[in-house]
Amino acid sequence: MIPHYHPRAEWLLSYVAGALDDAQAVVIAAHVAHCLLCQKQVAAGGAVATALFETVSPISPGPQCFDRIMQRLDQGPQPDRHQDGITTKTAGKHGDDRSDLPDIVQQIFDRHKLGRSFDAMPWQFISTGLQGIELSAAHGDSGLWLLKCKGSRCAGYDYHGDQLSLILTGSYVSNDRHFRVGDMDEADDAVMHRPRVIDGEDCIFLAAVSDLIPGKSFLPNFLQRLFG
Amino acid sequence: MGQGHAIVDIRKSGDLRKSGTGTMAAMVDGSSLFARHAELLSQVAVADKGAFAELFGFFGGRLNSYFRHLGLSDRESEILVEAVMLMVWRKAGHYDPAQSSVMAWIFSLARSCRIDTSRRQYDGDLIGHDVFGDLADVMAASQIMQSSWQTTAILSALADLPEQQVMVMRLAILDGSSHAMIANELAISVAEVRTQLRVGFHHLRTVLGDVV
Repeated sequence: MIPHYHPRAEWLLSYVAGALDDAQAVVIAAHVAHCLLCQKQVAAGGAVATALFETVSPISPGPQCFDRIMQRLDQGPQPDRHQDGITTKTAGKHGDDRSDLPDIVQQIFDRHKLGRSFDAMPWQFISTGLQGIELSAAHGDSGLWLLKCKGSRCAGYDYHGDQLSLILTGSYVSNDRHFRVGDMDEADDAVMHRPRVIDGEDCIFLAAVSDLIPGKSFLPNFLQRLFG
Repeated sequence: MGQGHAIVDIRKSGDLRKSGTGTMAAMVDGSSLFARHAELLSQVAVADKGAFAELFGFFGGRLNSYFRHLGLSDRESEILVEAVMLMVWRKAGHYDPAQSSVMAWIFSLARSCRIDTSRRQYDGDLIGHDVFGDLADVMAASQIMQSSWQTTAILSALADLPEQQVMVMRLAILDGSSHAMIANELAISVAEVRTQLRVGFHHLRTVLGDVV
């Protein structure tokens, strides 16, 4: 899979520096996990960070700092000898909706006990054509949402600040761009997000968004729930 | 925060590279230092405290300075220096010289420690510490092999950028300040911070080509 739309460099650099909020970091990490191009960008960002670290003029810590460390070495465990730091990948099973998803997304699904089938997940109505599961609340930062867009009449949502969305299954069209699996749809400055599905298949995406406000529909509320 | 002298340092490094013979000397020194660090770390992996003390002698002050730059107190910085150096002791056997320089490896540990600390300040259980443990690993793994000539080339390319752009890049990439924090500190808009970062990084990648 070669994603077509990527996060801009400023997001990748802040991801490398650990400066993004949790929800944003998860969405970027999930894209990077499957995108060779962004992995190279992240590696380059890491190289720049290390070069900048080398320019820092040393300030010696107090002498007791070294003594305390040596004391802890005497009390603590010996260096860890085993060499494999490689995490095992979840094996894909037949009929498993999730096997192609990045590990970090699978871990979050497991944590929320969401099961292995998208259809069986506890989707909540958000607005016409849009359902969602709130994975983490926005505490002054971005909240993390799993969202499902159905059909071409999605009322979408409004938000304040930034939003980063990563397509997990299906595809949608937004602002005349067609986002497919692995693509990153990023926007800032509080615009409305009105994705539209054009090929009939539901589009499920992971979104880091602050203050998600359900989009207004032309249908009255009770009808929205009926047809949403 | 002391950003001023870091910029001076960057410019000095840039000058060093351009001065010809000085460049060669720096590269040779840098290369042997890189090799020496890797050798020391392999000794630490078999519990050699002398090698550990020598590594502390080189990195202790740099780590302390890095944490102090982030605005931490003397005591807080030293606690983090201890945490990083204890990780160096414990994880030395995991270090792979084919993957990264010791400098890059230790810096990635320092960065993970800083991120863990800031995450503990609020309810990190929303998504889960286990998930973010992995996230830190993902970022650590993103470090690439970094040699002394590569560092010199990066610093030289940075020195070509306007002063404010270097400042924005340093605050974002080294200090881990958010775009909003940088905008606030430099009294510019968030959009401007993002543009500076994007343009600055694009310049580095263009100038350096395959170096990074």
